[in-house]
Amino acid sequence: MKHFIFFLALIFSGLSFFYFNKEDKVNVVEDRTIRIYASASFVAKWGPGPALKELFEKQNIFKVEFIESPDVAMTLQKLNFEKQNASADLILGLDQFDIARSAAKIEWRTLPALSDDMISEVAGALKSQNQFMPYDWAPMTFVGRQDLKVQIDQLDDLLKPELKGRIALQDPRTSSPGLQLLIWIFETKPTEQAIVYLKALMKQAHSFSAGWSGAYGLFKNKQADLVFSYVTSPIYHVVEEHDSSFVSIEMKEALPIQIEFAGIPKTCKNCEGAEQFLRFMASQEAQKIIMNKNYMLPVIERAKEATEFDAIKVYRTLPIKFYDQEKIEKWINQWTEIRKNEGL
Amino acid sequence: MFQAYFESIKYVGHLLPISFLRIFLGYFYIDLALKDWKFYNIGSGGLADIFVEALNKPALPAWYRLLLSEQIIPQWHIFAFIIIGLQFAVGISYIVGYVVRPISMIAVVLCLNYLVLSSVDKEIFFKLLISCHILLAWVGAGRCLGIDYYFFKRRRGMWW
Repeated sequence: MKHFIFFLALIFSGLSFFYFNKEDKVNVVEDRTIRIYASASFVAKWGPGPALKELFEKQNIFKVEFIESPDVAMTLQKLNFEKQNASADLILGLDQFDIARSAAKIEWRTLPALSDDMISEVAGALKSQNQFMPYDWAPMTFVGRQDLKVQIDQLDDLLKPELKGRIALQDPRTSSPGLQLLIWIFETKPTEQAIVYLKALMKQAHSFSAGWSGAYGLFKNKQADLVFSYVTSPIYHVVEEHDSSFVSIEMKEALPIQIEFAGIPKTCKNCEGAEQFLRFMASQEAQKIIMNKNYMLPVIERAKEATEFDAIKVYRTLPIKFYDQEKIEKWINQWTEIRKNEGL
Repeated sequence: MFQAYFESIKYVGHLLPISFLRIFLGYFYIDLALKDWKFYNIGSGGLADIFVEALNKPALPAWYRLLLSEQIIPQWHIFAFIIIGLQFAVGISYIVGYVVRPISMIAVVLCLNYLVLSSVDKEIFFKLLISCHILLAWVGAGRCLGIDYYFFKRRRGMWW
């Protein structure tokens, strides 16, 4: 027994010794490193992360370290519990709803004006807050194929019998596009009508995937005729697959927009570096990289000129709004109730 | 002690294959501990991610969720330090073959913890790992190619 206790004591004393002697060295090394939490698709070699890192490091003294985060909600939870020990300098991939969720729990740094070249659709997002910088955006609508037999001009057209079980949707409890659709319906119709509409739409759905990629996969495999996605989605097929048969559908209702934001938590260690990186993200070169790799629209003027993205018709959109968490919860609860009662 | 280390092959040679399993598991734990230690020094990632992942796991038992959110997560640094220390202890013990039996029991507890914390797809792996630890404890795997043989020869008893 005493051997066992002695052994454990030895291990823990050794570990404590290394911990107290390593701390200073780690801090010195980290001075010039910007730790950025981003999604797997952003960090992947086909995503914008590596190209942005390379270009930024060429232009600045700072080093960029991307930390892959499976989910933004989880990153925010982690930031919340790590508090002062959190190592994140910058968080990417936040959307309007994440901002609402994190508002009460996490403290964010106020950002200076990082670009005066922001396009009008996104500039509205900066009027009501100054803690998050938008870095890409896209209106959301239904995407289909050109040979779709059904004429769709408005939300009500989605209820046509030909589309029964042919629409790939996302679960608003787990997916940001799913939540966008839910809010879009409640924003464009009076509550009573919205509930009736949701009940009918649920019967049209092929399924409610946990995320955007699941729903889009069903659509791509032709298991669904329509999917709720970004107006930029067809461009991906044109550029990557040379397939121009995909179209985003213009609706009579103004479309919701999805904006991706970046924010610097107050607990940042390299706050100056993080701010530099944000400034860089708002530059023409960085915006072009994000646009081409993320297939989202740039937030500054002229970045998409003379590219495939210039051909995208940006339909009439709803102004950006930050919703209260309570309101979002209420809509989600209504959706859950309908789903439960419909036996779906 | 050095002589006893090699002498063990002669007297408990039937345990030799198990010793290789023990040494491999030791290497696995050291590697795991070093990775977690790196993240621990950064102050993020590694075990912190596992704790958050666990909180989002729907099948987590209610009592464990409460323990995690009320006790472990507010002091996650202390718990992470203990877990990393235990991982190092398991790794070193398995490689040198010292106090393998009691350490295997700690390894089982660590695995049970990971079984609850980690995602469903890793369950089979951790169950397999638990059976390996029980096997090592059962046969006293530190007695072959390990320091335990030296003490076993002199003192006998269930600790070796």
